[in-house]
Amino acid sequence: MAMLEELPASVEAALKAQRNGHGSDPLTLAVKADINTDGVIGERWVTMDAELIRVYSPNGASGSAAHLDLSVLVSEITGAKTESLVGGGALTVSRGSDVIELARYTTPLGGRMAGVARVMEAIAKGRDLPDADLEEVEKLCPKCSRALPKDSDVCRHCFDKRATFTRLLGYAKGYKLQATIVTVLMIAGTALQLLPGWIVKRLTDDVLVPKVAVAAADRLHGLIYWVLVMIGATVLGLVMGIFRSRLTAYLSLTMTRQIRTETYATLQKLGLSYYDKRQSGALLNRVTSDVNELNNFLVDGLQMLVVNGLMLIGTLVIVFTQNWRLALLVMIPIPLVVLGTTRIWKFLWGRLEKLWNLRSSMTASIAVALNGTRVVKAFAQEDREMARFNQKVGALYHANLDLENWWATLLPILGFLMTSGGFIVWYVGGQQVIAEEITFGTLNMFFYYLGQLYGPLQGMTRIADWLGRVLTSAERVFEVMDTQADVADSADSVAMPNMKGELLFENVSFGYDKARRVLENVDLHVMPGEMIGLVGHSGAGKSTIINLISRFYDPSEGRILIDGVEMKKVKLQDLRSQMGIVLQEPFLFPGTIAENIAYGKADATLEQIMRAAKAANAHDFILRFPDGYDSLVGERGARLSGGERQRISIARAILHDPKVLILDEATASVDTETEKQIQEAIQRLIAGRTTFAIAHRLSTLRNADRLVVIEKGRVAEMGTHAELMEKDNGIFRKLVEMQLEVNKLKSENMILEE
Amino acid sequence: MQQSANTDFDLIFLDPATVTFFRTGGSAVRATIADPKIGYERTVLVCQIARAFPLSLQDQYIGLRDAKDKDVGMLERLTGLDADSRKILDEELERRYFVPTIQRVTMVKKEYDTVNFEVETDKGARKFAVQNLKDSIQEVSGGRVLLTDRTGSRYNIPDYRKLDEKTLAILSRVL
Repeated sequence: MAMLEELPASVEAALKAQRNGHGSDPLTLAVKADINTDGVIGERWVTMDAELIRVYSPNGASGSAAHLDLSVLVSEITGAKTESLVGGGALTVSRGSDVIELARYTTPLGGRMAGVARVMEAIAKGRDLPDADLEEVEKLCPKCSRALPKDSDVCRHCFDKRATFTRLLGYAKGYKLQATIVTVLMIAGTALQLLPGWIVKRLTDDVLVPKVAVAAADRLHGLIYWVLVMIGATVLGLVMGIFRSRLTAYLSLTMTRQIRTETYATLQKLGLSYYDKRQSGALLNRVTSDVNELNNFLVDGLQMLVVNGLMLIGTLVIVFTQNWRLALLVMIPIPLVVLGTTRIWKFLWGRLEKLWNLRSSMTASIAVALNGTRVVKAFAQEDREMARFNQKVGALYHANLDLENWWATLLPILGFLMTSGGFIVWYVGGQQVIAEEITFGTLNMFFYYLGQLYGPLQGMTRIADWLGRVLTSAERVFEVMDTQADVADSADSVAMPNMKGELLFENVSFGYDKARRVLENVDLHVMPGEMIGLVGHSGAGKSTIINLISRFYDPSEGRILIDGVEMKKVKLQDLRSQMGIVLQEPFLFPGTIAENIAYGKADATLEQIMRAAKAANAHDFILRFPDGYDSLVGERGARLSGGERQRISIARAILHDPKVLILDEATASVDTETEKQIQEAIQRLIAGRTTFAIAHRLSTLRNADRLVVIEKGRVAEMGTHAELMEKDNGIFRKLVEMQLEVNKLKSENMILEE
Repeated sequence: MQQSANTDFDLIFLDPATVTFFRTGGSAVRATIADPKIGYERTVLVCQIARAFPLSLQDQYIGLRDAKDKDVGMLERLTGLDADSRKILDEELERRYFVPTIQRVTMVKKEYDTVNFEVETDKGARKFAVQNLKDSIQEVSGGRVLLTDRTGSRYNIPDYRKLDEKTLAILSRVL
């Protein structure tokens, strides 16, 4: 137990004075709230010891003691909770029928205060203190205290970019030979690209404008020779380029494939709790766009980076060794080009972003209009939709025009910056030629290299950005890969190939996050083959019990034993292969009906599949389909009704032959006739299996051996249908009576309609 | 005699003159309502007060609920409410809606998909980060904008066009 923040000196002093010697027991709680008594951002401190809860307003400057705003006797409080308000919340305790607000806080403190309220509540109710620490206020990077993304712990500012880059390149490890060849080809290719400049010089000085008189025929020979060399160099460069690009494509795609498979494998392995904390969209992003980003970079970016870098270095070396003074002058516009490029791109980028946003908003409104056509027409709102759309089109038009105008203006300016080096070369180089300090060939060569310089330079300014983005993507992907599954086999996991299906909950408590318990101290003993109906209001904890039985999660406290062995210690594969689950909205995979039925038992014979379908009351309707058991279902396949899907999923469970069966609202969304058929199928399915069933319609649980009523995470009532009905004021009895009432209303309406 | 209305399926507008708010010994609000529309004088032990249109209307359509979130009735306007009750109502609204209004942006910096703000608001200085700006910004009307930060806190910008140039440039990309 440590829910103590360090008190500021003034509060510390005030607390000491007020406790005045007696009450030297350690504080149970000391937390800071961030809205002061004036209702603005400030500080307030809530402390709690065995005797009193005290709330202080610190007096700012040191020295003077804090003001005690409020004190409440611990012995008088009957409960504590957080009230959620807009933009924050309030920590309150109840004293009899009265509610006392201790302090208010803003949203970042919400999770922490919920934990605080839980501790106070436990003390007020005389329960054991929950074992919890102060929850982190906000996920911040421990190094630079920047806010971390919601779904990732990678600080995009601080992560070790070099290590990530090395790890990324590490995927090329198995392909050392190819990687070496690519590198060699890159260097050779760059050299070949640099060669023409030198040829230009020789061609000019030796052939076109020779210093000493040369015979015309020799000059022609020279010309032919140099042109041939140029053609040769270009063709060779071309061939090398083709090989290089093909090899790079092979290398990078192989690397991406490996990354993709590894990521997907990790995602399959991870427990459900990982998915609870993250939006599936964000995860989808990791496996698709982050990996795509890596792919693009490996295919194009890396090549560009190396080739441009080599070109830059090569060009600089050559021009400086040829004429360092002229070379220095050529360098003058470079800062301008770099700065100009970054600035102009940044400027245009903002406008591009706006354009994209408007475009997607327009697309979205078209999609809405199409999906909502029926509603639009039914309410005769075509004109309004049209007006709304016109407004979006107008905004898009203006943003587009704005961008194009800037584009048309800025790109030539950038072009001018790039060519400005040329003016210097003309003027200064021209002077040097006139003074005969350099040859005309050298001047020509400078023009050639000038052209080679600015392209890569611009490329490099963009690539820095790209590299940053790619490394972030890489780190995020690696983060997924490095995640450890929290529900996993350990070294001492025991095999359990033949389960009997006896389940024992021993004082099980569980919460999806630390701040809130969903189940508390649940004890339950279920014999093999018994059918248990789980009853309770929504949110009471029924589904959580099922999640624990399936071992999607491990209990926070207590243990679950299966056939006398702790569930955590049983091999996951053995456990899950002997459990079956039928959900309210069964999920069918894209494929044939037969494949879907055999999902849990891929080696099932066709006869077994049909037997299972027959037992699930599915055989008849499957045969009615033109393609029978070969009918495609799933996204592109035939549309099945809810009842049909349900029976296929029951057939799947029957074929899977589980020892422990879970029915989660299996008959919730079907009509009465279908329900009867499904009920029959379920009766056949549950025979001889330990079954847990959740059902909204209580009548469907009549066959259960025992009913367990869950109320606020605890087992409130347990017994047979008849036993529970006999309880005066019983929760179950009330629920049944309420449903009867509703049914009566329904049937009266039906009579009226007739 | 007027038949008393039923809040189960009728929307009831209470006469503000018949509504009185008290503070209990603690911090809860107690209300007594003597409106003939609900037929008898009624005391709501813990009365919750909320705006029906918090974004567009400040002092109109104020809904009252009991501790179990059951509708008690609605105040269309507040005129007629006695001064003490009005004070308590204002305190409660102030308490419920902690949405600082940004007066000045002292620092704004876009890093990756996060925009970091340091602002001065009517409720003191604040530092917050908005992630995925496009989905965290809501245009209300006439340049008024609500920003939601990564923790779910909201900030009111009365007119984004009057912000400094840098902030304006960042916000206008997504507006």
